[in-house]
Amino acid sequence: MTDLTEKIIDAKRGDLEAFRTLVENHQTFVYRVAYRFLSHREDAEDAVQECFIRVWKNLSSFDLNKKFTTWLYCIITNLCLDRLRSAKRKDNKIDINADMTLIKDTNNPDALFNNKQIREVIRKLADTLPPKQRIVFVLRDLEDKDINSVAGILKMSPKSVKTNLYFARRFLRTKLLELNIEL
Amino acid sequence: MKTHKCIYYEKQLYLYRAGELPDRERDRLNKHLASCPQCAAFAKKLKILDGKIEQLRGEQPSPDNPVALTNNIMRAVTSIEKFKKYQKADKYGNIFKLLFAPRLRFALLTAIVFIVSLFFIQEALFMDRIARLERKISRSTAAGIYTTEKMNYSVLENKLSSLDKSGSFLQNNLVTVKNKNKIVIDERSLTALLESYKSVKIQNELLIELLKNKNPDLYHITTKNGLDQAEIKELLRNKREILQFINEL
Repeated sequence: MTDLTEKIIDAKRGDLEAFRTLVENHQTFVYRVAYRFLSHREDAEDAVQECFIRVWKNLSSFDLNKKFTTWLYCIITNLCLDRLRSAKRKDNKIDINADMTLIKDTNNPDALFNNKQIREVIRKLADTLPPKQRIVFVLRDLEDKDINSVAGILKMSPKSVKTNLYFARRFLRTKLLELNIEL
Repeated sequence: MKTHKCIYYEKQLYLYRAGELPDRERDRLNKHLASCPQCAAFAKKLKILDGKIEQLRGEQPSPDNPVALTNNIMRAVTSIEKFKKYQKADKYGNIFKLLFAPRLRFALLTAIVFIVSLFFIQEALFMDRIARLERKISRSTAAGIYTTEKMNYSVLENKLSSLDKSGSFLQNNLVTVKNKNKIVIDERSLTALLESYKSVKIQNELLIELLKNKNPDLYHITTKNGLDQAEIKELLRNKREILQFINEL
């Protein structure tokens, strides 16, 4: 029995210290995923907190034969998906052109985007993707999960994952071209 | 210029970059890229884009204050546990409160009163039935003293005759042994007999024999005319010691 499994079993029994260890060991990874989805530090921290509360509440039903991190992926992904959808409902449209101006070096507006800036642009563009495409893009391209894993986490078919990924990548590419960003 | 073929291969390029393109399709794509500079340039750009994305992958955002985040999570979890305990305690508290709710209290009180009254009514009816049964038995066995089989009649008769100083006791057929279990006493003779014994002590002894001490069947002492125990009590009203004895029995 691994140390992680032992901690999970202890936490299942209501051991708060064991649960604290689980939180300490996994919160950075959960935060990283949440931040990639939400692109906002406070929102990501809120999501992490909510995720671990959900973990605590449902720990008794967790199957020890399954991977703990996959379970965490499922919870944080669904939480972030809900947050993204509700944010979309509030119609918080991002003005990508305004963002690009901010990203660009104000002292030299004609200069090309540097690598760091391009990454920032890609991140900003990813924020404008529809929630599902964004989640698929983050899981596949940023978290480097394979198609089947993404399908398992999102409870979607692999074909649907591929389609969403295709649209996400095409959107990013098209937008980068529209913004005249030379790659 | 973009042809239909280019649009098709553009899609294939995305699949290729994702590693999702089958070998056969990949060969066709490579052939097209070799012949179409526009698509080749696009493929190059896609490759650079993937490189940038890969760089993004390398970035590992982490919480500003991991300790504070852990503490916040643990605080939230602890409060959930406390709330669970409170809810559990509150559940029992609610049941307790419900027990003492005015309506329920009134209903409980009514139910208790009803059950107690039912018990007493039943008890009274039962006692009444027993009394009636006793009366019925005493009437049907009028003029009889019932004894058990173990009773020694000759001893009783001897004792009675020894007590019967006036000689009228047996002569006047005061006591007739009808059968093994039944002794008949004549009421008037009994009264006369008791009257004839001025000594209370002798009267007592006589009755002791008649009532057969320690034999419960003799409680149902009756006279020929069907007097029950109460009527005998009445008959012997003035003879306190005898009455006391009967009461003790």
